[in-house]
Order: sequence, then structure tokens, then C-alpha cells
Amino acid sequence: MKNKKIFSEKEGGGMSFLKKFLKRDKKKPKVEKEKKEEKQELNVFVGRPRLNVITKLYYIMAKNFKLILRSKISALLLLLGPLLIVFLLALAFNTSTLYDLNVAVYSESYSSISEDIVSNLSTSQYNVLRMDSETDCIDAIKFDDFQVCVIFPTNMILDNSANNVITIYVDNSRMNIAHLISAEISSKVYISAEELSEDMVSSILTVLDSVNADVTQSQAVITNINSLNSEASSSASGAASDLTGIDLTYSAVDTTTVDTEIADIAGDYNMSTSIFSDLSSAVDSIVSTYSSLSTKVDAASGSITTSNADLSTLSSTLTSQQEKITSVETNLNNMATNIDSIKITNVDNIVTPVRTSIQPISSSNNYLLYIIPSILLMIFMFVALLLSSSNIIDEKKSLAYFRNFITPTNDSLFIIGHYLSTIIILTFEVAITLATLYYFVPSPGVNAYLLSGAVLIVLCSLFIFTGMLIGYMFNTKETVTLTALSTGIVLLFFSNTILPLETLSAVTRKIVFYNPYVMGEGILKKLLLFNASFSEISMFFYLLIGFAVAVLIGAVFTRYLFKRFYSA
Amino acid sequence: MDSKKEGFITFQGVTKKFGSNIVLNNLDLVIERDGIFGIMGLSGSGKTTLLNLLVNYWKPNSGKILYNGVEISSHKGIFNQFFGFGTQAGSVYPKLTVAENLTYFGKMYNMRNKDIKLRIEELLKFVDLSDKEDVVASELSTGMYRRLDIACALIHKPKIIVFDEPTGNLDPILRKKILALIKKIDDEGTKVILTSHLMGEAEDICDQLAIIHKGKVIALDTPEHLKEKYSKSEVIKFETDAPDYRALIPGLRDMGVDKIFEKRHYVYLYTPDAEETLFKLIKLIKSQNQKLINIEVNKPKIEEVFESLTTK
Repeated sequence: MKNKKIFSEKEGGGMSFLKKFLKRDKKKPKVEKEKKEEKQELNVFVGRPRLNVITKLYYIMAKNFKLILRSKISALLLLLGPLLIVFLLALAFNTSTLYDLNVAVYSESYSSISEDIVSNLSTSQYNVLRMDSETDCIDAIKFDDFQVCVIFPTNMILDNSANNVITIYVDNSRMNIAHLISAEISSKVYISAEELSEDMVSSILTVLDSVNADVTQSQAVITNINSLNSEASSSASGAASDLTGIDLTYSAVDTTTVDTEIADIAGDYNMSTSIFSDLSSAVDSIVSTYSSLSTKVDAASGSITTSNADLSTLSSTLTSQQEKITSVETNLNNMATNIDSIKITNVDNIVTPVRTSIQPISSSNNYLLYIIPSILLMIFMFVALLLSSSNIIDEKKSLAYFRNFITPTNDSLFIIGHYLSTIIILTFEVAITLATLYYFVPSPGVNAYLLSGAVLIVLCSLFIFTGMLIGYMFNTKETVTLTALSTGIVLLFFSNTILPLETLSAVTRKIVFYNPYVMGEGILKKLLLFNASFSEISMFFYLLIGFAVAVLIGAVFTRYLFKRFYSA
Repeated sequence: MDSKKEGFITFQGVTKKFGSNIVLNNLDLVIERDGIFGIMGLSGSGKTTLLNLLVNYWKPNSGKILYNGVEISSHKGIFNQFFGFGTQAGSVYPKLTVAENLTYFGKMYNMRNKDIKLRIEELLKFVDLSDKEDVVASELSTGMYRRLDIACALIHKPKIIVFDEPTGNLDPILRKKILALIKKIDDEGTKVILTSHLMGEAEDICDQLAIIHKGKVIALDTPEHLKEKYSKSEVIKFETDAPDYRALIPGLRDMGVDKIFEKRHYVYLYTPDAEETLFKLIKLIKSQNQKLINIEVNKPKIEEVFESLTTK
């Protein structure tokens, strides 16, 4: 038998706990002797008073910080990596222009028009290289560092031969930039085409102006002719009427009465008829003259009838002509009206009658600001997932994990401690990153950056819990790292960063909408690009908090299951 | 084994399963307060599981583990302070210094700063790491690392310290040092319970041994009693100048020995009458024109008891 010392701890707060402990045990039916032995045994060991939770948390967090920071490479990567990435991105993307686009061009025979377009491209920010064949031009995109190939038609001219189609080839596999490049090149080509169109339309407008002037002049002449014609028609009608009014009727001269009278007189006065011979001759002369005159009157009457008919014909001819002149006049009027109705006489407006003015809904056109939401999320998602999951697996593999479990410390403290130490590091990173970005792009304003910081911290929490879940779920560092990376990649893939969500099916899109990465990106865009207020993003913000809580519950449950069923 | 009997620590009908794998099957075991208690068993026999159940890391699927009649799992907060655990690999944080590891675990055991400071000083002297206080654990030698692990297990002054293969993967010199330390802990009054696959070591250090096989305790006693109880034979170990012993075997079988086997150029004979067998053996070797190079007569070792029990 060896001599034994009995451990005895200082009394204190532990006494009350011990009393409770003993009191609880009294409920159990035990024989008196056993109770005495137990009491005796427990009396020599007084449980230490429990430490303040905050004190324990402090030591757990301090331990976690030391473990992270003493792994120099990972500390450097985790702490400085994201800051370096953001700094480099800020330097690289703090612009609103596409730089150094390599453009391959080809035409069997360049015309002055195609030469103009090529020179227009060359004077822009593009590097233009003329290729020897269409195949070479297309292959330049496939196999060389060219982003676009522009094929001009042979001897490109502007006529009715339609020999004016310019073909632009882009690499559609570069989905994120293909449309941008084609739009950029199209706009450059369009500028040249617009200049040509303006020349052509200008000529057309000049001709149209001249025609318009001639029509106006002709309208006056026609009106004058029409008026004169009307007058002539009226004169003819008047003349006809006058002629019709001339009375040329007459009766035949009857000399019988004269002869009877002469005979009477001669009889009364017994006079010789010879005395009246002169008179008879004179009457005869009168009769003869009258006869001659009546013949003339008859002839005049015939002429009047003929003239009347002619005047009538003239009048109807004039009427018919007037109608035609009126029709011509109407046509000229219509022409004039139509020409006058052309309201757009500005060459620019005819060449481009409808102008699309694309106005950015964001006040900034800086590429850095466009990519900030995606980049920030990408960085912090991967850092949170990897940092959190690798810390958990390192802890699990350190074997000290086991010792933690057998200490009188609540498991939840280790979970809280792990979360707090990771989130403190990430909060620090978020703060530095946003401050760096604010230095380069201050336009969104301090409030937007502060709100973005809050959103990022919630997102980091969500990804930390996800990392913890992964860490508790698997038993090797390789599996944990791969799972954490895969999780990040899946979230990234089903977001707007790689492919537009519009390329997904409607059902998938509905699901993907709840991808925390998509939600986070949306919130950050609203904050940084559109200066949204908190109320505008609050629904998604609270949803993210809900997600984080759900994942935390999953992580705690997984840790419990791991401890319960894992056999080392 | 009497399951009703209660000792310092009592396992009553303890069963632990992982899925369909039954690691401990209705196990009964009584551990007395005094002396170092050793648990031996083949790999996978459930030694580590038994210790993990004892320190409240897991709960048994059925059965009870009692400390002086009080069920351990029902008062986790208190009993967690009763136990310390020393592991084979060293359950410490390699990136923390010796003092940081001790402070951290001291805090996890609810110790005050002042107590921790005093205890660290005391423990570092005890495990001979006084000059290594500020050295990062990963920079310690294997022996020092193991001693740090023991210090961490002792930081809160446990009533019982449990060692799982404390000398595993150590060279003989380090093994000796660790065993000396374990004895020292026992002398200080802390109950030591250990597992070991090194039978000789267990026999040397333990006052009581339990042999676990297929999830049950198949033997429990002092090493001496175990040897007496489970091996009535004596062992004759000999070596001759012959290239092989095939010619001797038929003659040896006729001697009425219990067991014959050959191992590393030696032949082992288990016999209830060593004197008679020895006489016959020398005669047989001479008749085969062989020369006896080496011969020993021993009582069987605990590993032979273990072997005979676990290969039944």
C-alpha cells in the first residue's frame, strides 16, 4: 500500500455548487453507508468555482489568434492576401476604358472607306493588325492574343450592290467580354458608317431642297395660267352670249304696196306711170340693196352661229384644261405639302432617326466599382470558408481538441470562441479593404461603405458558420479544404460573376436567387453603385442573418454528431 | 467478476457501440483506489474507448460508470475536474509555448491566474521542463513533448490521471523516464490508470492489471497473481548449434510438454515439470549430436499470460 495525499482545492464559490450537487444526490435512494462514503469522498474535493464565461472566451480566442498568427505563411496569406488583391485590383481596374484590345482586320482589297474605318480603329486604344487571309484573321482570335477580327468586303463601296457588310468575329467563349468588345468595335465602325451616311443624306437633302424650290415656283406659274385660262373661258362665254344676243332677223321687202300706191296715185291723179319710173327704179334699187343686205345679214347670222359653236368648244376646252391645270396644281401642292411635311431636315437626325442614349443608372462608370461587389464577396467568401474550416480541422487534428472536450467548459464556448476569433480577423480585413477602396473610389460615400461593411460582416459570419460545418463534418484537412473550395466555387458559379443568371433556366434561377453570394452581391451593388438606403436592402440583410443562424445550428448539430459517433 | 461490487471506480454492464460495431460489450470492471491500474488488450479491444468513457468524453450506450458509487456522467461539471488525460500523441497545441498550453488548459479547468502561475512552476519542476517555459511546444523533443502533455493533464490537480499508451513510440530511455514520472505521480497520490500494449512495462509498473478482449474484461488481478493463475507451467528456452530444429521436434513432443514453439532461433517449451523436461532435453540434444549453446528456465511473463488468454 502506498501513501496517498488527498487533493484538496480552495473553498469558495464551489461550496454552493457542491451543496447543490449533494442535495441532488439525496433524491436517489441510497443506503446510508453509501451516502456517507460519497459525502466523505466529495468533501475532500471541492469543485472550483466556474470562471466567468467572458474570461474563458478571452482565453479561447487568444489561443485561436496565436494559432492563426503563428502559422506565418497562412497568417500572411489570410491577412495580407485579400488586402493585396484589393489593392492590386484598385490599381488595375480604376478606369472606365478597355485597354489594349488587339484587333485583327482583313480585306481582299481595301477601299478608301475600309481604310478610313481601319485608321479610325488604329487611332483609338486598339492595336490593329492587318492579316493575310480571313482564316488567319479568325485564327488570330482562336490561337493568338487577339480579341476581335473585323472582315471588310472587297473594295467596300457605298452603292446599291450591298457590298458594304462588315463582319465582326469575337470569341464568344469569353462571355464576360465578348459583348463588350463587339459593342466597342461596332461603335467604332458605326462612327465611320455614320459619316458616310451623313454625306449621302446631305446630297439627297440638297436635291430635295432644290425640287421644293422648283415646285413652289411652278405652283405660282400654274396658278397664273389657271387664272388666265379662267378669264379666257369667261371671255369666250361672254362673247358667245353677246353673239347669241345679236338679232339679225329681218323680213322680206314687199314692194307691192308701193306699186299699188303708185298705181293709185297715178290713177287718182291720172298721171302717167312713167312719172313714177324713177321712183320705181329707186324702189327697185332699194329692194336690190335690201336683198343684198339680207344676204349679208344671213351670212353674218351664219357666221355668228359658227362663232358661237366655236366659242362653246373653246369654253369647254378651257374648262377641261382648267381641270387638268387644277390637277397639276393639286399635285404640286401635294408635293410642296409633302416636302414641307418632312420635319426632320437635320442630316444627323435622318441618318440616325432614333438615337439610343444609354444612361448608366449608376453615376460612376468606373470598372473598379462595377467589380467591387463580386470581388469583395469572392475574397471574403473564400477567406471565411477556408480560414474557418481549416481552423476547425486543425483543432480537431491537434488532439488538444480532445482535451478541450474533457474540461469542464461548455462546448458552446468553443464554438463561440472560434466564431469570434475568426470574425474579428475578418472584420479587420473588411475594414482595411473598404478603407483602401474608399481611398481609390470615394464616390459611393462613407455611408455606403459602412453599410457594405455591415453586410460583409453578416456574409462573413454566414461563410464562417459554413466553414465550421464543413470542418466538423470531415476528418481530413484535404477533404475539408476541397469541400470548402468546392462550396465557394458552387456558390460563385451559380451567380452573376461567371455567367449571367439569365442563362439559367427559370426554375434554377428562382433557386439561385437565394444563393447567399447572389444576395450579397445584389446588396453590395445596391449600396455601392446605387447608393441604396438600409431600408431598401433590409429584407435581404435579414434573410442573410436568417441563413447564418440556420447554418450555425447545422454546424452545432454536426459537432454534436461528430463527438457522439466519431471513434478516434 | 462480481458486477455488484463497488470500488473506487466501477464499470457496471457498460456497452459502447459505434454504429453496428460493439466496442465494449456489457463490461464490468472495478478499479481500486490504490496503485497504478493497467489495462491491456489487443488493438481495437476497446482500451481507449474505456478511458474515453471514464473521462466523460462519451456516454455509454448502456451501463454505468461510478466514482465511489456516484454516476460520473450525471455530474459532468464536477467529474471533469477529477480527471486528467495523458495521450500517446500529446494532447497539446504545438504552436503554443509550454506556459501558454498550461495556462490555457488551467483556464479551461476554471483555475485562477494566481493558482495557475503557482501550479505551472510546480509542474514544470515536476516534469523537468523548468527551463522550457517559453519554448513553443512543437520545438520540444519527443520526450519533453510527452512530459508537457502530462503536465497539461495534471494542471488542474486531478484525482485520477488516465494515460493512453503513455510510452508508445518512445525509445527505451525516454520510456524509462516517462514511467518514472508516472510512478512519481502515483507517489504524489493521484490515481493512475493506463493502457499499454507493452506487457513487460505494464507488468513492471502496474499494481493491478485488467485484460480486455472483445469488449469484455477477461482477467483482472495483480501481475503476479495473473501469472500464477493463468500459467502453471515454466518455460524452458534453449538454442543449439543446429541449423534448424526439425530433427528435435518429434523427441520434444514425446517429453509431455504443454506447448512447443520456435521463435528467433530459440525453442520454447512450456512444461509443468521443468527439472524432468530439462533432463530429457539434454539427453535428446546429445542423441542428435547437437551442442547446446544457450538455455534458460523461467516463470512465464505476463505477455505469455496475455497471449494465452487472448488466443483462446
